[in-house]
Amino acid sequence: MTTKDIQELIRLVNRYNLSEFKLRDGDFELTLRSESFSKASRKEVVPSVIPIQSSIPAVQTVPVAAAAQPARPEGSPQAGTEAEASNANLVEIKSPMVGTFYRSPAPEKPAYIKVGDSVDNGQVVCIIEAMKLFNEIESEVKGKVVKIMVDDASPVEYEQVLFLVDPNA
Amino acid sequence: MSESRHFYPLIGQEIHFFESLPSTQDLALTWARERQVKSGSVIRAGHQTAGRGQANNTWLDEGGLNIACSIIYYPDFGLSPAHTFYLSKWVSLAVRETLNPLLPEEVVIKWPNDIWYAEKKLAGILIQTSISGATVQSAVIGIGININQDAFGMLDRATSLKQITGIAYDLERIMQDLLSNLNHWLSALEAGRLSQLDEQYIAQLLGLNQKRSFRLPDGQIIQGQVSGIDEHGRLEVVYNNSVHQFGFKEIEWLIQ
Repeated sequence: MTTKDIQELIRLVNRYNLSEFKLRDGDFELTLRSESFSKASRKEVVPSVIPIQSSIPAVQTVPVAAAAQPARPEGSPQAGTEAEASNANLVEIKSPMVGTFYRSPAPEKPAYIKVGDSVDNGQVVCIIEAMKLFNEIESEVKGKVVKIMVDDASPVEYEQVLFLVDPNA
Repeated sequence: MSESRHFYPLIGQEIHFFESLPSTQDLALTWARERQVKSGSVIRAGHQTAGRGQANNTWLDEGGLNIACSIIYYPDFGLSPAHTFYLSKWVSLAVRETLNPLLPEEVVIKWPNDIWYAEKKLAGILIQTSISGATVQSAVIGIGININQDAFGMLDRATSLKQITGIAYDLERIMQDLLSNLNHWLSALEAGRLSQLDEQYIAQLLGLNQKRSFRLPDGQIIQGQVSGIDEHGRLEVVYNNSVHQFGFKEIEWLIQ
């Protein structure tokens, strides 16, 4: 089994929202678990020496309830009514790593995206800087940005929610 | 535009040489985004008119005297975002190893990814990646090495090989060594020999097991010893009898 195969399996496990996937082939054994299997213990589950990311990708469809009501952003029209937001199946864009969150490529440059903007698959939404490495984070969802959860230039944790996106907008 | 070609296993398979370019890094970012070139392609400029240094200062480049290049690398083996610091380790080790044999004293890595000699900066590295979901899709690695430049104006913390030894160096020779070393250390990364990168990186750190002065964000000045780095790439400094971890902007070196 190659790393490509494992990556493809991770993609499939994620696509079908499986909580756990086990594969045994002779001596080779592979277990993939998504966050919903055990949110408390986040383990690296691929028995591989290669630094492959074994947990699920950073973006996943999670029904977000009332807590995710969009705050009214300054200087832009209110994005959606409360009724719309609480019923919507919002999607989270999470930080894939520990670092510092930046909304724009440089201090004097405009933000990558604002509340109310449309976001496309593969579009850069922010930079996470970690130890002088500058990482552009691409969206894996398409929709409209409903809320930005983190202030510019603040520290973020692994899997911290950065943006809420309405995929149906 | 003139191009030259050499044979290297991955890094440097394709070298795109430009006499003059605003910034190798900016062009490499565009090419990486559009996936226009193969993994390992190198963009090199004889002279950069708007080279990118660290965020605030541009790299001083007089033209033809220094090495300025950017590498486009797609880590198709599956590099997790949690492991991006291995890119810094890989490249820092390769650059250090290229320069170390040319100088009498040890060339060191100033965490996180500057290359220093005798308390001055000899080379700089800038790494920008693109991450989608669980993997690093591409990395653009900018490398600037001061070779034959004599003067650095106001940058009194910068130095060059020639300034140190008084000898003029063959840029092409150094470039070839750099590509060989990049390929050597990349093979360790791609094969998952991470402990080898960890050990070598830590062994070459500036301030390792030496008393050094640092300023903390609250203004406090401490005397501590670098003892290593943690799994996130944070610098570990021992003071007051315990190990403390620092992110990039959480600690400032005070160099005499």
